Amino acid sequence: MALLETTNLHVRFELFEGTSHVLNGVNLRVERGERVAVVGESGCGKSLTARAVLGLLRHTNAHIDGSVRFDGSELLSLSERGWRAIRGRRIGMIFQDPTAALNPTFTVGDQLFKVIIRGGRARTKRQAREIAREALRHTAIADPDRVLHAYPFQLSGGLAQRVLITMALVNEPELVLADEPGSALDVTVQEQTLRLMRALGDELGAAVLIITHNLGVVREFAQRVYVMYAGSIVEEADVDTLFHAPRHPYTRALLEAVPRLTGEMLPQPIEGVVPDYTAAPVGCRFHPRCPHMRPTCKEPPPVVDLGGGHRVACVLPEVQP
Amino acid sequence: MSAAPVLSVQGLSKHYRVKGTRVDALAGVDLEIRRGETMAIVGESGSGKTTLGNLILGLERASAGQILFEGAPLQMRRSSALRRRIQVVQQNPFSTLNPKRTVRATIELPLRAYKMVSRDRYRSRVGELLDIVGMSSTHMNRYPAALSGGQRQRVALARALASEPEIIVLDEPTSALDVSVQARVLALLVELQRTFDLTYIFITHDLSVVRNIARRVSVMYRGRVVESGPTESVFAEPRHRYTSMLLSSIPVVSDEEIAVKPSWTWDPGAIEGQGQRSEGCPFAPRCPYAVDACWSEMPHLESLAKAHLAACHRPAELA
Repeated sequence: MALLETTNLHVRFELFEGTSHVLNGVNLRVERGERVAVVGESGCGKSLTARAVLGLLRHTNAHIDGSVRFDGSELLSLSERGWRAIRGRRIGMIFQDPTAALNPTFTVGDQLFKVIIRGGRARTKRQAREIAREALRHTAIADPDRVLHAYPFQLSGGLAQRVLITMALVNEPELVLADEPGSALDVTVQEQTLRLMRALGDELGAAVLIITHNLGVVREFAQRVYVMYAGSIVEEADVDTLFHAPRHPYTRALLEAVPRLTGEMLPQPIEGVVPDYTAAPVGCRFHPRCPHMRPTCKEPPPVVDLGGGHRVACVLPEVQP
Repeated sequence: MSAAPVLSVQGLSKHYRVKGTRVDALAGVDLEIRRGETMAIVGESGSGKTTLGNLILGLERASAGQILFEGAPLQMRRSSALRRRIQVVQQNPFSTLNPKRTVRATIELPLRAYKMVSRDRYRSRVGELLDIVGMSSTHMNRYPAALSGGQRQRVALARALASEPEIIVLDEPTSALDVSVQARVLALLVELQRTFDLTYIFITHDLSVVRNIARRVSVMYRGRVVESGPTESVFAEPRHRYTSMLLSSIPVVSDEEIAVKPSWTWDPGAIEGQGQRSEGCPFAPRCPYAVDACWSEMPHLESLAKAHLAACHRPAELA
């Protein structure tokens, strides 16, 4: 049984302009201890998927259909009390901007102790302090006490990021959801963040679902990857296969748009824009931008299983090398 | 390429006082930029790259040193005629356009301010400029809120081009954009440079973005240029360890790139050189190769190969 599995997940919003179908049947799976990436451009629905999984769309105007199962139990019908036993305990979260994710009016210690006590790891602040110190040291913070006494604005971005990683992992969750970790920081700090997350995740045996727009981060961090476009998963494969034999025209276009450290080519743009979800193209949503478009693309694309866990939602994966 | 630099930065420094302590945002930078070239200024946050851009634009006053434009000193207060010739495109397309101005009003402003064309030609000139950056005249009466990030950046570019400048300071022009949009903006920049013989000062934290665009690169760290040279040679043989660190931290997508990335020993304790201060090389706290001399003596930029300079005490051992 998969640790996390979404089946036919739909999210739509009723807007003045009409119905906006933002997620269109997302199926994704994370096994225990696995590092999985969801990659796509802004507006493709990747962060929304994460928020749906975390139950953060519950009190919004979002209409959710489908199923999100965590360790066998359905999350979409979970009560608020039920959620409290999962969020921050069995599922940890790391958000994009580390300085915005911390409460500016409390010290790091106050926030971290609360997470530890809520998670049931400690009963008193004194116990929590011991655990927090140890956990911070684990993320290579040389002077944990200084950090515990600091307010978030007193920390550099890199330190704040490590505090967030500590918070996400201190209760030893089975799954960590990381939305663009480190992408608000310098590249060197981002690199350190990813290394740290990988090392600590492996140590705990925690699975990580990373949401990113950066294909380089995917290649470096993940074992398996889902490529999203306009609210659907268009391709799924292990990292090696995806980077050596991408099949979906969108995946290929996205790869060509990345600036390279080798070769003479300038990065290649993708023509057109991400569609408006209230009037999305019928069939494959990528077809208006696709160089291989044919009439059948105006019908929902079949999901072709290429074997070895490589699946692509396209009518013509066979004609490409 | 002509020999005389169009812009020459000499010993440029800028310090601020923060709670009584002096912060050197820029500590003696020398640069020469030739007409029609793209000079990349690369560094992380706090490296002083934006301060350098601001001084060139006259948005701040230098603490020491000078900037020569075609041989004449460029002051912070400068004539409108001079201002016209050096323009800027900034990073965040969501905050650099006035949300209460239409696209037309935004682009018209420099046309008016610098008296570029007669009043009755404003509208048609805005149309031309939009066309140049690949947008249609139908966008003229839109507000920024109705534009995508890529479109906004095009409008910012059209606004910069309106005054027919010679130099454009590009301060992270694509880092807020998706890769697919970034690629389009980069292609446009290259095309515009060719058409109008523009000189770019391309400020970025991402080395890979400038690799096929800039002829030369200067890498900055804590207010100093630590390495500079022809792009190819800086990428192929980085001589300063900070450059190696930057290069090796770029997450890449192909096997070829993995093969050329310099190796780097990531020491989790040295992420930002926690709390340590160096009297010598500012990078010493983060550098796994630092020796005693690095902590005590400031290294100076020295020529290592053809036009390739680095400020490191042990550059040879890296090569």
